[in-house]
Amino acid sequence: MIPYLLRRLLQVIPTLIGISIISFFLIQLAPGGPIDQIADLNPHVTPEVKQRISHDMGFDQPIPVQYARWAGRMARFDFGKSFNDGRPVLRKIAERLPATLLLNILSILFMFLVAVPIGAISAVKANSWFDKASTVFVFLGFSVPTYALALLLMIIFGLELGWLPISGLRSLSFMPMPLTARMLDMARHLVLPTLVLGLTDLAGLSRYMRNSMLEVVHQDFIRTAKAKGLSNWRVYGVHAARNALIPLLTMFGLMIPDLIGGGVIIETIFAYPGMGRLGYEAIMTRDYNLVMAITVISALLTVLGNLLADILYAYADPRIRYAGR
Amino acid sequence: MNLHPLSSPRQASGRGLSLRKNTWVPAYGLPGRRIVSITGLISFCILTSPLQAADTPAPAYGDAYADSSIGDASMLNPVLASDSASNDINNQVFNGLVKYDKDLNLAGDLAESWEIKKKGLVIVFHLRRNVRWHDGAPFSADDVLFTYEKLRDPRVHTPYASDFDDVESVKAPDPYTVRVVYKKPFAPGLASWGMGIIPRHVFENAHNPEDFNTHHANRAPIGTGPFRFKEWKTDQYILLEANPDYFLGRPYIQKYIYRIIPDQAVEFLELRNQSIDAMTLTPDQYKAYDAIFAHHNRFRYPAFRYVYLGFNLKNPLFQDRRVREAIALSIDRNALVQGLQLGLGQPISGPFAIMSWAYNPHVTPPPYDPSRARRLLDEAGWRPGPGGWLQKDGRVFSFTIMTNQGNKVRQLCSEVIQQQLGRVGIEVRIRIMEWSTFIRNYIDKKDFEALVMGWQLGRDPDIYAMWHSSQQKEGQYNFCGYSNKEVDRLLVEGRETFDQKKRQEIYWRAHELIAADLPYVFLYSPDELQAVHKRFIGPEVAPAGLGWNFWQWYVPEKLQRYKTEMIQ
Repeated sequence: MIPYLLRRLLQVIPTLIGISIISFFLIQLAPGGPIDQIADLNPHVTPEVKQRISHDMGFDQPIPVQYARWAGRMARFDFGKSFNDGRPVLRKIAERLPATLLLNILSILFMFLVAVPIGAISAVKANSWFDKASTVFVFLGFSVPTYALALLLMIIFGLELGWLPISGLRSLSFMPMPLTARMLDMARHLVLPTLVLGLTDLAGLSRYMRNSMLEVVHQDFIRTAKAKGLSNWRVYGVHAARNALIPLLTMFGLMIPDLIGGGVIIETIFAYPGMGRLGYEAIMTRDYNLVMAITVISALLTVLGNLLADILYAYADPRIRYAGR
Repeated sequence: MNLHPLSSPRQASGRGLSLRKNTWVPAYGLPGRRIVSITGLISFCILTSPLQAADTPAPAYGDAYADSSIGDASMLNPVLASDSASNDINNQVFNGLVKYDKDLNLAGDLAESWEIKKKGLVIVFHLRRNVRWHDGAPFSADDVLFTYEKLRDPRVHTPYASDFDDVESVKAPDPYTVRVVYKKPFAPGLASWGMGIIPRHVFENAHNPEDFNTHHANRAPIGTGPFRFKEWKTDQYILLEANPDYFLGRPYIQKYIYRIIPDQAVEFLELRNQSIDAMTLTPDQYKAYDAIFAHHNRFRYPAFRYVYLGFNLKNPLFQDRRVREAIALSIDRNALVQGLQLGLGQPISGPFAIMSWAYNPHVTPPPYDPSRARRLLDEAGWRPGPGGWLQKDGRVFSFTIMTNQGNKVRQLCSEVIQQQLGRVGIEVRIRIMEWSTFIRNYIDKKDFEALVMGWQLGRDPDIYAMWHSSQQKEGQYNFCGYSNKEVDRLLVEGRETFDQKKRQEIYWRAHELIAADLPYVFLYSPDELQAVHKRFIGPEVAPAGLGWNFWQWYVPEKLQRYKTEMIQ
């Protein structure tokens, strides 16, 4: 196991270099640059001024030279500063990460807590009314556009009923509140985004669970368990579910990079200060340093997430062992 | 942040702008009063009259004003920032030497008065005494010198350097006098001193030297303005508080909150929920049921921008003036304003902002007259061929209108024009392109036939950059290739003339000539649409827009919504 892990970890390095080269060249090849934010169709800015700022920032160098410089800085873990506001990009990411992690962990938790039971029950009682109703429900969540669902919930719970705040992460009167009131305030702000984010991905996960459970319940060891006279709970809830959950581990591993990559649409609608908006705006404003930092970090997490999924797999499923390979 | 998926960068700036508090759009300044001759202009003021009744309640200190914007600020440093969100905040925190008053005349701000000497070669500013920075340090002429040094420093990434290109020297003979010498008279120069003045002592810290472009004070500004900076949570809100030592008197409103809500539909829900007090409305939001605005007043005033159909004048298709005129006659501007702006805007006839004194009210937009258009095209040799399309020498009259992606109004505008030109037999294709690609690969390279675009204009009418024949190189703004000797002369003269009456004559003539040459079909100027909560007393629409007197707005004690200690 250990040599396998080491080998996998070493593979991360060339992967990251490859990803960084491709994304660096891609973003540089896209027309425009960071200076356009102040210069595009701005009659105050003459071409000479553009040239001067561009030179000062080193954008007039050939792209390979710029990449070499960037890689040199990266080797010292210097991700550089954002062109938009002059702050270190790592600080900008660090500022956003907690909010994104919070929302994503909550919504993934919500998803698993709802999807696993729905999927399992649907499989055990395949083709029952519950199976059909839950299918309709999850696909409804899946097919209604996030945007429409969010606005609908905002109108009902925010505007009409007044139970929940409409958007944002905290109230204007947040800072003077005592700690418990602050937590409650944030919790209230998180309800709608968590719900919307969770509902849209419920379908996939619950169908996964249903399928894998269906496969398991028809296997011999389940029949044996039933024949032994075990209770339904022990047959399905323990023996069947444990096996059916294995494929979901893969899903979970694949979700790890999503943990830090926020959804642009959901964050935009809820005025939520997360990574999705940061990344989207970085790309649109050609904030190269920020784009690269986010790309490298997400790439790293994706690779590590896959690795973690493999390890979890091996742990959960005795049939799989990597030592020999 | 400048960009929003629904609009181009410049356009987004326009929409993010929530209140134009003496809005300082640096340089291109000096407008004054304009004779209102276009029907409808006057009615704005009546429609949107504020609730200043005879029994106006007494002013009271306190309460908070929750403003909103779809984009966050980038840098709270007036020398570096040019986006509208940053400008909104910088206008409250900083002062220039001069500012535009409600009627768009230049008035003193940090300068009490000024003298223009030697036919405009020298401007002497007399500064206010006893002005203090928000950190308590005294303001002096040295800060003005510092601001100027930074504007001219080649290592500073400022978009305003070219406004000061003609300055020969800036000196401070004493702590309250600034003497600016120009290489040649430059009328827009006076207005360019409306640039927010930044404090030397904050940026030049000998113990801790920092790069100006990335200085920490760009996120925690110290100014002289009516509001002091308090807190900035990126992409959430910016919080300011009243400056009790403001040199014109302490503002009544205690806290100013600038919430960032990137989605306009959600912003509107927050407004209806009364969780924000103000926002920029879209035309359909403005036209929503009255019941929705139970707690808010709506305000409407002409924007300093316009939408146009521009031709590539180097293209043989558009070199015949009759053809351009025929196209202008085939477009129904009123239909455009009705269809795209729900009537909240007005057709324009020339290159100036409709509220500027430079806009010539005697020039009227071309009428909608398709039959005259057909006659003109016939004279130019374009005859109907098979399929109804006009033809000449076996070539069908067909061209492509380009516009940028993400701006719904411009796309719709192109489609309406396509339909209207189709009626006279001109085939129009539409190509919509990603913003940067459009600018870099098509506009800068002049690789286009026609385009639908907009200009955001400054308060000063200097339009040299867009219309002088010398400004046609790659990356410059006369990308349509317009050139007229007399206009060139007038635009230079307009830059050198300080007397507003004379300058007006110059620009009226330029307006007339450009309108007659038809390098663009000038389409319309949209209105700025604003909602402000009803409890605020003081909002008043003037030529300068809304919010020019924001520091004097107040909420009567009984109607105050936020206890100030609630927000810190």
